[in-house]
Amino acid sequence: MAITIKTVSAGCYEISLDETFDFNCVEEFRRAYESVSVKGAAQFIIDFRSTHYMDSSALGMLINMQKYWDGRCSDIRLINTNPQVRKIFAISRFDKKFTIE
Amino acid sequence: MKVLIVDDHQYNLDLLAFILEDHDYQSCFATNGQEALDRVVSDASIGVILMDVNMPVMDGREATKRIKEAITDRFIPIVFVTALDEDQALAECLSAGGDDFISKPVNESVLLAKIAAHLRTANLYQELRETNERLSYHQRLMDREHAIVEHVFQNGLQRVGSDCRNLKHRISPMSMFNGDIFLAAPSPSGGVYLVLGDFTGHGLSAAIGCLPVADIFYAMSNKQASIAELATEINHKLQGLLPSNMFFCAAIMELSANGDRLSYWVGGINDLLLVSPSGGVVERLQAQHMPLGVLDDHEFDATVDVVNPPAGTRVVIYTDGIIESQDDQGQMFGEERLEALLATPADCYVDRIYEAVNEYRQQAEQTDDMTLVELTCCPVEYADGLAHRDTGDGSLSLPWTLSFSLTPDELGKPDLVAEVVRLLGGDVTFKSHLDILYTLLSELINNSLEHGLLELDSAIKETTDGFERYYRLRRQRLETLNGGSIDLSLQLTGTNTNKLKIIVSDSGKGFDVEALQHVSDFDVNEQDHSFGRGIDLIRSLCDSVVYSDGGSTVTVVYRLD
Repeated sequence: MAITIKTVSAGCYEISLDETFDFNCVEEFRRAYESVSVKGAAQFIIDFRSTHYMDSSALGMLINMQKYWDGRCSDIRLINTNPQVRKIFAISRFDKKFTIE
Repeated sequence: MKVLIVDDHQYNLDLLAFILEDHDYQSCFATNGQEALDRVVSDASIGVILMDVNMPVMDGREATKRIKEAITDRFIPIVFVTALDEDQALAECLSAGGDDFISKPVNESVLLAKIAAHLRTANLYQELRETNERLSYHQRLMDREHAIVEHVFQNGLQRVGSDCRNLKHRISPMSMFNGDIFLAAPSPSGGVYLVLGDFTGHGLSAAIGCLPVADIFYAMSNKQASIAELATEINHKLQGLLPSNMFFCAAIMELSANGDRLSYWVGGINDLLLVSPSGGVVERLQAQHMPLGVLDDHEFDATVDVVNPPAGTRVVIYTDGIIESQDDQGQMFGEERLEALLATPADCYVDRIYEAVNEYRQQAEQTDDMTLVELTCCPVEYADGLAHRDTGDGSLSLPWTLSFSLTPDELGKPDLVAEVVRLLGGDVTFKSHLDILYTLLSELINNSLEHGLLELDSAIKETTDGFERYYRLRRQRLETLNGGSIDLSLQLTGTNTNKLKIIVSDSGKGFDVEALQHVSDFDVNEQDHSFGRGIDLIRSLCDSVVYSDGGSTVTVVYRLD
C-alpha cells in the first residue's frame, strides 16, 4: 500500500491512492489527511488515477475524512475516477457530498 | 570490339578492313543501308559504324536515321566516310544522326584516332547508362520501402485523428515522413491525453522514433497512467533507442474530464500559450525540462505541473516550423506575429494561424515540419459520445462455475478478492465490470467474514476511532480464528451467459436478516454514517439479492450487459 500526500500549493494538498483502496488502508489514509496542519488546509484533492478496487470501507474512510475537516476545510475533490469507480460513488450518492471529477 | 563497314564498293571495304585488322579491330561488312540496319539489329557486338553516303537500296543518311531509331539501349557512334566536301551534304549527314565524318581518301592515323575517340564516348555512355539503371533500381527499391513503412506508420499512428471535440490540429509534413508527432487518446476517466513533439532532424530517421512513442502513449493512456509515468517511460525508451545526437522535444498533457485541470510535462518545446476566451495570451507555460531521450533514468525529472484554466481557455501548442517559417526575404514568421493572431477571439486558431503562415511564406519553400494543436479547456467530449470504448467482440462465452472453499488462512490474505477478480479478467466479457465486481465480491465476502465468522458488530464503526477499532478487531479475530470457512461460488448463467450468479455461504451462525433489512432502509439524508453502505451497494449493483440459511448464505445475480 502506498498512499502519498504532497502539497500542491499553499493550503492545497493532494493525496494519491494506490490500485486498491479498501479496509487495509484505513489507518494509512487517516494518517495522511491528519498529517496536515489543521490551520492552513483549504483544499484536498484525492487522486483516484490508479484506483480500480474499492470496498464500502473506502466510502467510510472518505466520510470520516470529511467529518474530521468539517468546518475547517470543506473542499474535498475526488479526481481521475474511472467510470466504474464513479458508478460506485454515484450509487452511494457521494456525488452529492464530494466534488467528483 | 567490332567495326561495321558499310560501302557498296568492295575496294573500299577491303581497304578499311585491312587498316583495322592491323590494329586488332574485328570488322564486318554491309554493302548498302538496309543490310547495315539488319546487321546492327542482329549483332550486339558492333561498337562503331563506318558509313558510306551514297549507296543503292538505302543510302547512308537514311540508314543512319533508322539505326539510331532502332538502337536505343546502347550508343553506336556512326562515322561517315565520304568524298563529299559540300558543307550542306555534311550537315545533312550529321543531322541524320551521324556523329562524325572522315574524308576520302582515308588517312589511316586520322581514322584510328577518330575510332578510338568515339569508342571512349561510347564507353562513357555505357557507364552512365549503367549508373542510371542502378539509380533507378534504388529509387524503385526506396519507393517500395517507403510505401511499406508508410503503411506501418499509418497503422501505428492511426489513432492520431482523435475524435475528441476539444482538439483541433494541423500537421504538415515537410517530407513524406516527418519528425513531428501528435497523438491523442481518451483517458478511462473521461479526459483526454495528448503528446505533441518534434524529433530532431527530418524524414525517415526522425520519424522512426514516433512508433515507440505511440506504442507507449496508447498503452499507458489506456491504463490511466499519470503524465509523470508517461514522460518517464517515453524517456527511458528513447534514451535506449536513439543515437546521442537525436532527441525528442515534446509536450505531454492530460486534460481532466470536466476540462478544468491541465497536467503537463514540457521538455524542449516552445511555450504553450493559454488564450482567454475573449482573445489574448493570458499565460505561457514554459518548458520545464530537457527534451526526452537525453537524460538517464536517474537524472530524469518527471515533475508535472498543473494549471486550472478558466472554462473556454484555449491552449495553443506548436512546433518550431510555425515561427521559423520564412518569407522570400528569409525573414522568420516569429512569435510576435503568432501572438498577434491570438489577440482576438477566433472559432479556430489553428486555421487562422495556418492560413497566416502559408500566406506569409508565399512561394518560399517549407523548411521544417509544422504542427499546430489547439485544445479547448471545457468538459471533454468525443464525437461518438464515448470516452471509453471496450474492445470486446461481443461474443459471450460458455457457461461455467468457479468455486472456492476459503479457510481462515486464505481469508487473511489481503489480496484475496483481487486474485479472484484477476481470474475473471481473463474473460473479455468481464473486462468493463472488473472494478465493480471487486467492490461487490469484497462486500459479500467481508459481510460473511466479519459478521458470520468473526461476529463483529457494525455499530462499533459509529465513531472515527471506532471505525479503526473495528478493523483492528477484525485483524485480531481473524488471526486467532482456527475454524470455519466461507464457500464462494461464481456461475456464469443466463440465456446469453450474461448473468453472473454469486453465492457466498459461511459456516457461522448467520445474520439477522431482518436487522440487515433495517440497515438498508437508511434514509438518504442520513448518509453521514461511515458504515451501513455495503448492503445498499450490493442491492444497487445486483438484479437480485436473496439471503437464505438464516442469513449465512447470500445469493446475488449481477448482469454483465
